[in-house]
Amino acid sequence: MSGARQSIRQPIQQSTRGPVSLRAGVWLALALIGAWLVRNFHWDVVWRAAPFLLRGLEVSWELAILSVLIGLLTGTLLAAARLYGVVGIRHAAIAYIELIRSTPQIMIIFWVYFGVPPLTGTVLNPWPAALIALSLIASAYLAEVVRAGLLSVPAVHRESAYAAGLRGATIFLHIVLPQALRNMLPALIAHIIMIFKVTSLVYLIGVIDFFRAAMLVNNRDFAPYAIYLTVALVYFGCNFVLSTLIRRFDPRYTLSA
Amino acid sequence: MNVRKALKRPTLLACLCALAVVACMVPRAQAENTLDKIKRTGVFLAGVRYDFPPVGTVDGSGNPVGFGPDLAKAIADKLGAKVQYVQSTSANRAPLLLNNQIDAEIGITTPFQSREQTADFTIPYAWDSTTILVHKGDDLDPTHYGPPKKVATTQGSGNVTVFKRIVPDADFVLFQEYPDAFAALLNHKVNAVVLNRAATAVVLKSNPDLAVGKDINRDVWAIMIRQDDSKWRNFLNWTLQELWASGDYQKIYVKWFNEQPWFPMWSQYGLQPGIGGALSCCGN
Amino acid sequence: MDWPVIWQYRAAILQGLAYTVVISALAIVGSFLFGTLLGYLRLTRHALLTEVVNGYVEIVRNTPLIVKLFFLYYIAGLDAFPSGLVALIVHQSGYISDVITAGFRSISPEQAESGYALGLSGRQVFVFALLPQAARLTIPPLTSQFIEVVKNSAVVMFVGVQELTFETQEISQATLRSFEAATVATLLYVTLTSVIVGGMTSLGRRLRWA
Repeated sequence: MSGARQSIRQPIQQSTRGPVSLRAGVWLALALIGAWLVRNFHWDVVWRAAPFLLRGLEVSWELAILSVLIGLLTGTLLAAARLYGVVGIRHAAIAYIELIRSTPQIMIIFWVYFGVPPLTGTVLNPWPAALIALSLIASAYLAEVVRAGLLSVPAVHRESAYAAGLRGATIFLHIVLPQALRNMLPALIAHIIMIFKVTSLVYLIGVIDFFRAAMLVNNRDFAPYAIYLTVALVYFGCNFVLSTLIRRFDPRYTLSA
Repeated sequence: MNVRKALKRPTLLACLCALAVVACMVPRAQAENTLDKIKRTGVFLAGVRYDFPPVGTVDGSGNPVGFGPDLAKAIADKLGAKVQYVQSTSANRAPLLLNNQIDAEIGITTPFQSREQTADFTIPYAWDSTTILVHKGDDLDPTHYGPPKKVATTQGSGNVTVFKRIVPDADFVLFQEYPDAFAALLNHKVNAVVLNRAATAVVLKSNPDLAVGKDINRDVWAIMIRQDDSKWRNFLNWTLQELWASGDYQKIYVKWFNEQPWFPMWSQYGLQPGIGGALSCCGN
Repeated sequence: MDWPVIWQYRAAILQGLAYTVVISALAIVGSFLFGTLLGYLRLTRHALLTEVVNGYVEIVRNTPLIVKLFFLYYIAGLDAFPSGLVALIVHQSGYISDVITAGFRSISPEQAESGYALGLSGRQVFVFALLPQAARLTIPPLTSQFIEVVKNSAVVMFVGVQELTFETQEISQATLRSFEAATVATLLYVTLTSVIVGGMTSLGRRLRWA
């Protein structure tokens, strides 16, 4: 009981981490043991398919980064509509954000590619459809991130700028937005991670991203253990790099909405 | 009134409004027939499989190769057009066709009567057989794989219908890709995989302790095209037979299946009268 | 637009919906319990325990859900439904543990200290002072996490569980009415998430007595 009393009494700022060398040593040992355990998998298949897989990884990253950029722009507009807009626009923005966030991402991709063309009569190729779908998803989530960022700038900044004689757009662009962007950086990177994971769903419409490339190689050469382990390791690697980036900006950041 | 609740209402309201708008829209009418369109644009959009060797797969750089792509190229040459490959899967082959994103699907589509409600098919362009894949030493007779045994195949495959004809109460586990079904078989999650004989080559190479069972039926593949497009359908039917008559079809088939085709094109008694100048059947 | 044909498949849709609801509900409960446990373990001062939990959460958060699912189904040998459930629980609990930890950490230390000053024991402080405040703080992020569970539940179709998204594909392949099928499925998913949001909101209101 006294142990629990101790832990709650003191404010806990950072998790206690042991010396770096010890942790690195433990992980390295685990990695070596793991490598020895999987030595019999068909790694030659992965090796031969490496250029194709790398191209797929490129596509995954392209889609993720482009959709995040587009999503950031449109998300900012949505957040502004939600914070400063008139009643009708505000509710439209909220409706859109809630709709996209409540629907499984695979449904949104399905919709954009299969559902929209018969209605509008246009022909949509897989890659543009994937980009549009991912941008829609990104914009809804990033709208919330931007809104939180904008709200995190203390009102007094806006008020002092107003008192100093600046007006609306200038205040927004030069005072509020830069600070908001800096505050929302961890959340932004977290959502890049999320979108990167969602890109694997574009297999449904035939875009050859990293996951689909791995599946095609598996279809051709059948080496599921090696291939899926490679997929896991690559995704882990990419995500780990990104989360480390988050931690550098804000050690206490957590992926909560 | 709870503000949160009020904010949630616009979502469903927005959905219903969108539905109402959309329900009033009429689908775009088919304007031009496919043959004219290809002659005009100079591009033949061919839907091919990327996930079913040897009918369609990808090479090391990600380009589609296989029996389907080669056949599509031969058809494009006859048209005097360029071929552009579009990846088709069991899930998206019909929407791709109906949305004019492909002009023909040259894959592993069986021309079920039910499918002809929404698409049209050419004459059969290749034949295969449906069979089961089991562990070595297991029963090779497909009719013995009713419950409690489990069988696996992919979602959307015609194999479900075919197998249910001989085992009406079959217990199916449906995966998204064949390798997942193979992995399930290897891990003893299912007792057999129902698939085309052509699909067994890949997994047998790396797993010699699997065996192929008896054929269930002959499975036929046809090229899938849009409905009511007779000029295009005729062209494809005649081109297939002309390729057969000139021997090009057989060359492509041998390249990918390592054997001569064991089926005829159009009829076992000969090609359609008029192809290559022939007037009638039966040896004339 | 051909809506009547979807009505013919209502049995399949309902069956898929049933699978989705059951696996989502179980996964929500399971991941909440497991995530809370992990989050709580991280609040203690044991360096090794914190390290282990951190490492586990890091691995879980950075690997795709489908890889975990395949690992459980093919390598660990679980059946389809259990492997889907465990994969969902393991996946979401990584995120929920972060939410719980953040929730507790954001309570200012004076709360606990006032409790001790008033003579309450450690357990009483936790249950009556910290828990209600933490619950109120974590309800919004937990709501999003639970919605994520519902959306992620579609992944179990990769091991053969015939849930709602699977049935949507089945219908759209059989009838070629992808638009209508997708619309119906989307409405059902939105309804599910609205139920979750409504439930969590009323839960949050009831906790305001603290």
